[in-house]
Amino acid sequence: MKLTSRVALNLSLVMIPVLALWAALFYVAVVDEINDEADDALEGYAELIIIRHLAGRELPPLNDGSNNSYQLRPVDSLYAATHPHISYQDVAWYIPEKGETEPARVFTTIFCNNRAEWFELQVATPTFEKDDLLMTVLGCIIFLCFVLLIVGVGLTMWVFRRAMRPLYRLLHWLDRYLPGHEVEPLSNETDIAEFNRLNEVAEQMVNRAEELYDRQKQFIGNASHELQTPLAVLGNRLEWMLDSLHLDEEQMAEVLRLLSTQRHLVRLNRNLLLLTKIDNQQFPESVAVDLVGLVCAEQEILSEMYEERRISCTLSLPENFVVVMNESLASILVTNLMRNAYLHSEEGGKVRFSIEGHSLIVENEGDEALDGERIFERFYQGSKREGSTGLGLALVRAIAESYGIALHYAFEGGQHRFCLTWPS
Amino acid sequence: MLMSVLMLAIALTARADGDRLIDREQLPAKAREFLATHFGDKAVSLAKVDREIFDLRYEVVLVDGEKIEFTRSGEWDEVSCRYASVPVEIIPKAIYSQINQRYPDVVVRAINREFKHYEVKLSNGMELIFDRNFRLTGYDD
Repeated sequence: MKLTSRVALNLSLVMIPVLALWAALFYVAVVDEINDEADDALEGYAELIIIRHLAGRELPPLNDGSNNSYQLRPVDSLYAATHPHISYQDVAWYIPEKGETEPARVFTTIFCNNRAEWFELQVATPTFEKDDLLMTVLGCIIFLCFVLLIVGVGLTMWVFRRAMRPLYRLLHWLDRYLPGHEVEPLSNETDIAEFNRLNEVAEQMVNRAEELYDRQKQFIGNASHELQTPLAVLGNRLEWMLDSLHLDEEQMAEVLRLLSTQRHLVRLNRNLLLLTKIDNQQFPESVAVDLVGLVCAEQEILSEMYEERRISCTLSLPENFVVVMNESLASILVTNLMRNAYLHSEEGGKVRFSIEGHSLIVENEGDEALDGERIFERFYQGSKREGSTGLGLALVRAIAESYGIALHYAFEGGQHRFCLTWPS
Repeated sequence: MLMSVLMLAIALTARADGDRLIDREQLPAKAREFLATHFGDKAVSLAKVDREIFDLRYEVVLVDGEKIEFTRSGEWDEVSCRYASVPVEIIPKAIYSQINQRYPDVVVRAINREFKHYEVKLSNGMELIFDRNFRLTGYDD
């Protein structure tokens, strides 16, 4: 979940109950005020009638065009003494002028005149207008609360997103960073102290990572370079021992085993050196290479090498497929993949090499999928094979990366499938 | 949140208000004295106490239709005699003389004493406004 969405969600969750409470209380207050005002108006009307009556003036007509109506009747002092002098009721009020019964608010009061005669006055006003008003108020409150919520959350998200812009710029910059590639300068101007600090730290970390990466690369390069000579000397000594010393059979077998281990070491070292050179872009010269020719030549060599394992090979190649690459790297790329297919095939297995469009596809039979994430790592070996250095696929990836070639591994229908796709 | 609490307070106190009928004896002493001085022993037709949120008012209707309103302490703040005239003694002298000068034939129907000014209603329908120093500051007709 994005930070802004989370903030918006949390804000809504907090705001909804607060707004609901606010709206409810506001509604209660408004209802109360409206009822109060309606009662006040009724009282005012009653007062007008009482004062006119007391002053002996003409009373307002019963049907004066307003919806209010009243009843004035004399009562005896006993009635006056036993009934409340002020009371409000909500009743169904019969309006004689209309001949209808309407829900109404009735105010009843008892008063006396200067001859000590008692009167009871009832004034009534219909409540449907009040009810309409309350419905309208309720609708308005709900609508306004929603608008307030939406506007509040929207504004917060907008402000928040603006404030967080440097963070997203920094994240994009970090996304673009790849170890071993040139670090583009971070331009993320901001006045915010926290983001400035974050920028600083991120830049420091990236520079440090870059430095360590370089140092490691250099170390591997130097180490394998320095190992070349002693390894060669070791090989020479062992060969000299075989030739010049008169060894018995057991000793000879032991020396031969040593020699085979030495050759493995030499190959391992050579591949490590090669990897370092590829990573350092030390193969600048490029020529047009026909991959079809390369595949055919390599296939001939391999079918001879693995003749006794009776691996059947299918080729599906166009007339030619020319790419611009360093020649030896192209050769390593193709042979490593193809050798890998032969090496990991069971006796009597099938391999298939094909070129389709811009893709070189190498397939061989297998029992289960390999770890697609890790097979291209150095020295990762799912199942150990004789004569494998664990660097073949790492070399393939290094070469593919340095030329921008897409490299995919998939396992489909009992087939390992390595696919190299050149950019068109 | 503060708003909500405030609204709650208003809603609750609003319940406490309302009118209650009282006897003449339940009026503050000052108010009873005022009635006795200016309206003699005219009987009270209706007297009630009106509870507002922060205030208390008394309203008295006399049997001849005069209406007098008192504050919590019993000071009058409105006298209205819609079908008679306000007793002259109630009206501040400075105001009465000005009215007499300008409109010799009219009587005062109502006088209203606000915090900073007086409002006087005349029988010709005019409404005059005087400040605290009894200077005429406005008309309303």
